[in-house]
Amino acid sequence: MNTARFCVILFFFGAAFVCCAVKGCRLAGPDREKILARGEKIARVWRQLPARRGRILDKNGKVLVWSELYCDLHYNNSGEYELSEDEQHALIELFGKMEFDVPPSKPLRRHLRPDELIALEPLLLKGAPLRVLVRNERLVCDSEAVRTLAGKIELRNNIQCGISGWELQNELLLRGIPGRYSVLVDRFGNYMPKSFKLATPPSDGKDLKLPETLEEIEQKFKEGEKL
Amino acid sequence: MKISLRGTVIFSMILLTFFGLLTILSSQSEAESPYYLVLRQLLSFGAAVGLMFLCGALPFAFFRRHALVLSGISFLAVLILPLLGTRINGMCGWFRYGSFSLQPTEIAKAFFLLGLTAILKHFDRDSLRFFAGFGYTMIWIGAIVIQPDFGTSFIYFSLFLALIFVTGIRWRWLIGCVLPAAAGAAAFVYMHPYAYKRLTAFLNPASSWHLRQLELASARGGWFGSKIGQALWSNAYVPLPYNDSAYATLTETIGFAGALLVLVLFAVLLGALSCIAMRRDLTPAARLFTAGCVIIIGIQTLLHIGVNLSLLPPTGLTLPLISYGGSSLVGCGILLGIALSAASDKNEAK
Repeated sequence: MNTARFCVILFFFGAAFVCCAVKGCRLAGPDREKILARGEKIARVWRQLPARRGRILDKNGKVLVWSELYCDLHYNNSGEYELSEDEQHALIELFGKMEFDVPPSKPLRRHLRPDELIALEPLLLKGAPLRVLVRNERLVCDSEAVRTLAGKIELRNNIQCGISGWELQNELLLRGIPGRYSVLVDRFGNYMPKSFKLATPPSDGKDLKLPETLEEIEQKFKEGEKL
Repeated sequence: MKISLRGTVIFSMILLTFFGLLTILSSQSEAESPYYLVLRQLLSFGAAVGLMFLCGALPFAFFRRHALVLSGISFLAVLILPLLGTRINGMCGWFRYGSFSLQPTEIAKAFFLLGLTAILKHFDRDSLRFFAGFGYTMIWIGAIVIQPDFGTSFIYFSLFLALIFVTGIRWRWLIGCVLPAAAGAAAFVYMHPYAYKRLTAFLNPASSWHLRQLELASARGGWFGSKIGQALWSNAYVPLPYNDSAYATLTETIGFAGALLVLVLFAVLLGALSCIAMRRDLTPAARLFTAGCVIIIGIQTLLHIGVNLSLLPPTGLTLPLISYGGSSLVGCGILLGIALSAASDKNEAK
């Protein structure tokens, strides 16, 4: 065996080990932030957290109008209503006992909580024949005057927006600002554990307190009608 | 205190395997049964250590005498793979019986080296030594390429080149072999779009999804690692995190500091083997075999780490002693065992 030539090979190995160490050092140090930022772009997804819309109260604090968003889980409307066994198993794991034999027009589950929505999303991303529908529920006190004057709201990008009456006039006050959160997803679209980051918490809308009582509002409304 | 070379080899082998178990555990942190692969690897580790001590206890003269027989038997195992083997990830490289599988090319490395050493020692003339060694290597590579396993074929060919270089063959023979091999490799890359794609991806790492994930996993580890047993990125994005991407998973788990320690451990292992190879009181065959051990472990380690650090084009190679795989670990155990046996094969003339 030629020892000098063997030393040449050892020298080559030594140089290669040093190259690897230098590259590893760069990845851990100077290049780290740049590379991690690239990774965030690949894997981090941003989602919205809905904000509560403010209520409309009279002078005594009685609730006249109250709006709330609810999320319900439905079969999708593509004509495909068969859930695979794995999908059914995943839903039961998430919600407990469930009835799957429901007509497509009816929800599989009502009033999903935020944590349930987050847990459900990977299943939806994988193409399960399901969808989450946002339902706008609105309660108005039993008064014709309030029903007429309060106006209406509608959903725009899952945000309740006033389109007429007091709701529109006081839109800036009543409408909340939705929050944002992000999670990392793996290459199959599953959320990575412990990667949840709340970027901005939702800022709820403020309640609108009217300067009159309900009786005064009704009285004024009647006088207005007579005129 | 005198540190024995044999002790250093055994100690670094055991420590490296410990890092391997940690890597496998980290890569499985999100799996349904995170300890399954670790337990399997522990069993393989037991077998590898047992075989290492068994081979180490046998006299090297036994291996010298039966080199071609052992090499022939393992070659037959490799040869019948396409007929009786199981195809995994497009490669017909395993014998499978239930949950037990065996990759003969990993275990055969030691016996290929044994046969090559015997052939190179048998011939004195450069031309004969070259052609005999070349023919022997090409027969093996032919059987491996059929699977197809280009990574292992590359390792075998590199071992042949490095070993005839070490035997002191004239440069013209080396150049005469390297130039056609390089031309052949270039033609192969030109004819196979996936190989060309890998090469161009390596030249522009930002465009390669695979290399980016490996870089990201390493970068996430930072200096001291993310968390023991929790390689988040390796679990989510890196392909084969416990196998072909083991070094990236390890770096994510224990950071650059830990990965550097693993590099140092490999350097210690190779250093100890090199010291054995350079001992003049050993027989030439023992020295050549141990030098072959250094070369085969060194090349595979550097190729794996180079790929995982985006320094080389992506290719599927395991990291010796670290990556998951019983055959690879047992193969390393046999290789190191024969090297330990070679360490006590003293020159009778002395």
